[in-house]
Amino acid sequence: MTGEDLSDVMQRATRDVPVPTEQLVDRALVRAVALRRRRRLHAGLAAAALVVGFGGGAALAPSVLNLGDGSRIDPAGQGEGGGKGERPAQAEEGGPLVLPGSERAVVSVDQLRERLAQAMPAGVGIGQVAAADLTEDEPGQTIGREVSAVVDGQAVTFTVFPADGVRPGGAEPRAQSRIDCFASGLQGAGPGECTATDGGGWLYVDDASGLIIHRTFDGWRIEMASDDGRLRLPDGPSGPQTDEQGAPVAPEHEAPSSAESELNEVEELVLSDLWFQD
Amino acid sequence: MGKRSQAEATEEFRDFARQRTAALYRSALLLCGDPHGAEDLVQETLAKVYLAWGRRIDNPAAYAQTTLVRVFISSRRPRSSSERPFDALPEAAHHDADASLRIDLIRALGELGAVDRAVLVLRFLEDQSVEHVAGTLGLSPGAVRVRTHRALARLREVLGTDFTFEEALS
Repeated sequence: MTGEDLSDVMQRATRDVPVPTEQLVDRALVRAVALRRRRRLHAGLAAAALVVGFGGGAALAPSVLNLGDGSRIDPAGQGEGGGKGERPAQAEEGGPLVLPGSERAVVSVDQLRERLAQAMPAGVGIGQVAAADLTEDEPGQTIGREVSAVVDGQAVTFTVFPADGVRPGGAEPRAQSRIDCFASGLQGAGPGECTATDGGGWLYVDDASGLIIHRTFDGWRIEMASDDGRLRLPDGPSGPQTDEQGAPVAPEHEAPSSAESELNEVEELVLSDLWFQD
Repeated sequence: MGKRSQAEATEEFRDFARQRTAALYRSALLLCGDPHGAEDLVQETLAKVYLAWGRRIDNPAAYAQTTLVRVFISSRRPRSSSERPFDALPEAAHHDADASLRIDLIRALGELGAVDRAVLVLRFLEDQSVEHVAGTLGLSPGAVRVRTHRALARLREVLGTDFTFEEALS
C-alpha cells in the first residue's frame, strides 16, 4: 500500500458520507456561546453577574441535576466542587467514567435533547443542543460533558456528569438521594454551599426526568426534583417578574414552606441554580 | 469583530462554515471513527473558529483544519479516548458502495495512535505537505515522515495481506 493508494481510499471512503451541515453549524454557534461564557467566567468578569437579581442574599451555587437515569447536569457548567463543603477533587486517575450498566461516561446529545424535550413544558421549544467533552479545564481528564442548548431562545449550559462510580467532586454516591450538589462557590458563597432558592415558582415538574423547570425573571432555571420526583416549592408567578415599568425584578425571598424547611435541613436534597446572561 | 456588526460577522461565519463543514467532517470521521464523535469534533472546531472569527485569519480553511486536528488530539487523552456512546440512536441503514471500504479504513485507522492518525489524514485526505503537517502538529518534518512510514506499515499489518486497496477501489 502506498500513500497514493491510501489517499484514493480515504477520498472514496468519505466522499458520500452524509454530512449534517446546517445542524453542525447551528450547534457550533450554540457551543461558541458557552465557550465564550466560560472564558469570561474564568477571567473573573462574570462572577459579579452571577448574583444579579437574586434577592435575599441567597447563596447561589451551581448544582448538578439528575436526569433520572443516573446522568446529571450542572447548570453552571463548571463541573467541579463538592457538596457540603467538600473540596473539589479530581476524578480518579485512569479509571473510566462509567454509567451503571453502560459503557459510557456521558450521555449522548440525542439522549439529552430527548430528555430536555420531554421535560419541557408544552409550548417551550428546545433549540439546538450541542455537546463537548469537558477536557479543556482538566487536561488529561474528562470530567463531564458540557452541553449547550437554546431554550426558548436563550442559551443555557449544562454539564452532564457520570452517575455512580468515579465522579467529579470525588464524593461518594448518595444512595438516599438522587441529588448531589457540586457547588463551586463562584458567587462568593462558601465552597460547597447549596441553598434553596425559590426564584419565582416552579412551572413544571417532570417525574420521569426529575427536572423542575421554571422561568424566572432572568431566564430559565432547571432544578432537580427530590427522590419522588417532586420538590414542592411554593406556587408563584410562572413568568418573569417585573415591576410597574416592566423591568425585571428579583422575587421576594419568601419564608420557606414546611416542605422547603425540611429540604433545607437536608442540604443534599436542595439545589439552587442560576442562569446568567452574557 | 472590527466594525462589522456581530450579525454580519455571524452570517459571514455561517457561509464559511457551510462551505467547510463537509471537508471537516470527512477528516473528523476518519480521525474519530464514528459519526457522533465526528459531529462533536466538527462542532467544537467550528465553535472555536467562530470565537476567533474577529481576528485576522489569513486562511480560515487552514485555520479550521488545524483547529480540528488539535482539538482531536487534545481530546484523545487517556480518559476521553475510552469513552464511547452507549445510547446512540441506531444508525439508519446506509448501503452505499463505499461503506465496507469505510468500515475497513476506520477500523485500521483506529489501531493507530491519535497523532499518527492525524498525520495520515492530513497527508493523504487533506493532501497537505510534510512541512505543513509538521507545522500543524508541532512536529519536525522528519518526524512526520517517520510517522507516515510507520503508520502506513501498521495499516498494512492491520488490514492483513488479503486486503488490497486495489480490489477495494476496483
